[in-house]
Amino acid sequence: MADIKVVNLSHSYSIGTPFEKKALDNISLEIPHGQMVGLLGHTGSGKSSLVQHFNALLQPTAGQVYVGGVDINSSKITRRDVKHQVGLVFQYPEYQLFEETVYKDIAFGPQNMGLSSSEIDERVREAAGFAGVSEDLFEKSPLELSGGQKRRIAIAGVIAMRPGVLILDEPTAGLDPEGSRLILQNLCSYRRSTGSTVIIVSHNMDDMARIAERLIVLANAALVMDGTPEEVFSEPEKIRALGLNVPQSTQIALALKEKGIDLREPVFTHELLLNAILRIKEAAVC
Amino acid sequence: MSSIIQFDHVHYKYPGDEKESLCGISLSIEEGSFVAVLGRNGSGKSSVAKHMNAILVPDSGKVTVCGMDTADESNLLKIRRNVGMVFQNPDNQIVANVVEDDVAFAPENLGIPSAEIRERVDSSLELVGMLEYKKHAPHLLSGGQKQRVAIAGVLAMQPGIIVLDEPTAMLDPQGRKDVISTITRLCRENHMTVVLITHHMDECVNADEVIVLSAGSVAASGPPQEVFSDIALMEEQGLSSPETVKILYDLNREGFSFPLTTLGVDACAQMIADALESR
Repeated sequence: MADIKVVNLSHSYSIGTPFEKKALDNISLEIPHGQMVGLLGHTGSGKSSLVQHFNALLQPTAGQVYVGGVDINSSKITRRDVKHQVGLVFQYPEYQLFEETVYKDIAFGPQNMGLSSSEIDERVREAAGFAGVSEDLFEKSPLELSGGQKRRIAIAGVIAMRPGVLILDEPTAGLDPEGSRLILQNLCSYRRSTGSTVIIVSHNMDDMARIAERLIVLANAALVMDGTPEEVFSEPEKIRALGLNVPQSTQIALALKEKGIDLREPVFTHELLLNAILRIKEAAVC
Repeated sequence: MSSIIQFDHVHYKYPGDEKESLCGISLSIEEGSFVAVLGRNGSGKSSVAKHMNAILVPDSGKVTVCGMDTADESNLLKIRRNVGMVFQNPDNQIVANVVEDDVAFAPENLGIPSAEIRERVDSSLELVGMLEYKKHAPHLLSGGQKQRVAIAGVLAMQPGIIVLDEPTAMLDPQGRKDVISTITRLCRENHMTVVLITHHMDECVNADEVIVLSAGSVAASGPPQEVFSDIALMEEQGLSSPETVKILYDLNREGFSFPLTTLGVDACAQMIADALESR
């Protein structure tokens, strides 16, 4: 099982030059198989550097990264194999589409894995389904499609490798609210039906509060918070000091508290806020 | 106040496209106002922005900027000087190795005397709160800082209008806040006309007017309080109202009767608190 374990991981860029910069500072964490994780932090906090260690795109300056119990940096072979187990979708992945047709683009990964053409076909259709790419688009050029569609094709291309761990770096940046909602919905159902680990790097607190089971917060290369959305958003002062924000529903709950209405339970989604207010209303009537 | 940008039945189709990007759109932007343009991907937002400084000109219909027809080539330089553009990715807009050189790029190209360039660079950087970084290398700044340098580069041309096409899409929450408060200040204190294209509803809360585009036409326009309170319209357009409006709307379905025109978190909480206490 492709669970992830990181032990005392540090990474510095440009070592030995005047520009040497610590991107990750002694990070240890474990992500069990099948978890939905939101990775948060200000720009430059180390989020992208961390996830690039999960499939050996970056190698640690110190410390180890294990995927499924294997030290992925122990040999060239483990470094290569981990790329099939841990799929990484970069920011703005639509800029990496290059094939003539949507079908060929999604098939590129499985093709490189040396699979038979029937197996490739099965995977392309399955991945397209998960990512919300209609089969009507298969013969179109990916370059002709809208931003949201391109994004989904790029995600399908990674899902087609059937990675045990799927990592997405800001998968909804630049999309309209509807397009964002669709992609997050697809990712949730992908995880439910495959049991894969899904790690999403995001700046959108409202989305992460809604869909993640666990939030990991980085700041200045270090891991500073790690817990459920409830735990993390119950420390609004700390979150704000890190240059982040709490979800809008939490902001309203905090403002209510200042005005003497204590909702008495953690609020970090629309539903929780609505129910908490209605409960106070009921209590007042009785 | 008078209209500074005017679209009159503008049609536009990108070469090679089957469908028109703009289908006879008409709109008007008041001088000195802060206008937000919303709409789903492909609704024509960027095409509208590009018509505002004559990067694109209409196939038919007319765009007038400061009284000048954008289709008349002899107006081109004046229009471009008057309308500054800021795009999504600051890395694509920054050209120099030092912040102050980058900001000086446009006025240098306009042939402005060097003493005046010096003055414009400093005052532009000061306006966006980046003066202390003037000797820094842009690539070592954060995304929000880079975007503010890009805005300073535009300000150094001293345009009356600034058009920003999703300037915060790549920024973290702090960076977004800095950029939005910078452009709000430019509008309110320096009386610039600001046109902001965005997907983030919370960035439009302080706008004077919100224009919602759909399939190359205007689907709705008005003050944000009015547009955001029309939940049916927002959903139909693939947009999402701010949480303040959504919670009041859902509470109304449970027997409350709140007006939906409150956008601020504090004002929203105050209304809920008052309603709960009066029971």
